[in-house]
Amino acid sequence: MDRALLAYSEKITFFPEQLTSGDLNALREVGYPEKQVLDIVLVAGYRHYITRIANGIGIEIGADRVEESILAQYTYSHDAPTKQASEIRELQGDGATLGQVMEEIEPGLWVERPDFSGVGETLGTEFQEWEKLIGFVPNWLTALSLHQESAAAASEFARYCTFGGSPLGSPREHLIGYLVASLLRAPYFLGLHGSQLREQGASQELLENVQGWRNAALSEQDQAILEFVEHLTLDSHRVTQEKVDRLVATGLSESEILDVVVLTSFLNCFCRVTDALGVPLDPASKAFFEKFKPAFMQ
Amino acid sequence: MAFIPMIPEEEATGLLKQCYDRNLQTVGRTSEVVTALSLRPEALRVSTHFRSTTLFGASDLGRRREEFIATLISDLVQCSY
Repeated sequence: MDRALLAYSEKITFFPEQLTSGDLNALREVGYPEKQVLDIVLVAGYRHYITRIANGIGIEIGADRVEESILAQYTYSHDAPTKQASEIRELQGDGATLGQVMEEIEPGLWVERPDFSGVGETLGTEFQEWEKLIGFVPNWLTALSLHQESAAAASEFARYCTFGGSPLGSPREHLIGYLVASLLRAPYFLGLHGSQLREQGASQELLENVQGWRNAALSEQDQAILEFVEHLTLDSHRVTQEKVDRLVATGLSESEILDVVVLTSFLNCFCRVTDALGVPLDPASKAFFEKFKPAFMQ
Repeated sequence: MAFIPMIPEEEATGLLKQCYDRNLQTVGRTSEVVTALSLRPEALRVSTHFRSTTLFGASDLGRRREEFIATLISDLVQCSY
């Protein structure tokens, strides 16, 4: 069971877009009950949040808390070769486009979803908050309903850092979300943030190829933010004081830099969670993908 | 040294102090990853709530397996913290 747990953790780290229902079945087959399958996804997802926070803010564990020999073994140089997805994909020659990834998605949610008549008050209130905010309850939230407390807390977290909840403001939140989802080739959040960006008037060029942001008509500050987001998503251990200073030089405050780190880290968690659970697209996202599918196939 | 300022325990007030106190009760110390969010107390509050409903006994996996996942992923993404 432990081996299966670790194999799953490795895959959700490097190749979340390649996860299938078969990966969850592999966990079930070695004896994990349904609730623990969801727990594994959430615990692994959380680790992708908190490691980005730690690397993005540059915090180090106190030498008083860890044996020196262990600390030495797990101290990484900012110049060390990355183990992250960008280089692994290059090594393995995985050239699937986002469009191809989308075509291979198995339909349907891959975990059990309880009858919603059994939804407790806290999660029910969160559902109502989303109805008020965007007119529907997003599928990613209902997908977590087997673990209602965690789902309600994740919902509150999402309302804090997306859809205008954070001090960064809505267009910038969606821009960051769209880039992270694109880098991770995570269709669910790509559709969610892409459809919102489109509504807010983002250019066709940017929507078709957000990873080409260096050539897009964006402010110097937005470009600096996206460069930082890219680093934090793909090579978080390479974030340095110099890269943070570059954000400061464009006029971003230290609190706003923290907002960028929190949102990027949140998305690194939840893009993986939605990939891992096979969360179906929301209606607005389906329409968005129909429109942009030709561009994503390139 | 962290890339942005962090507010130490003795200077925390209001919501931030509440978050620090809660963390002290549950974890037994104010860890660096908590103070890392101190410039935005509300971000700290919601992320700590998510953590407390997902890990450290809230999952059915048990601490040993939670830490297996934590250690492997931290090494894979090269996060020494």
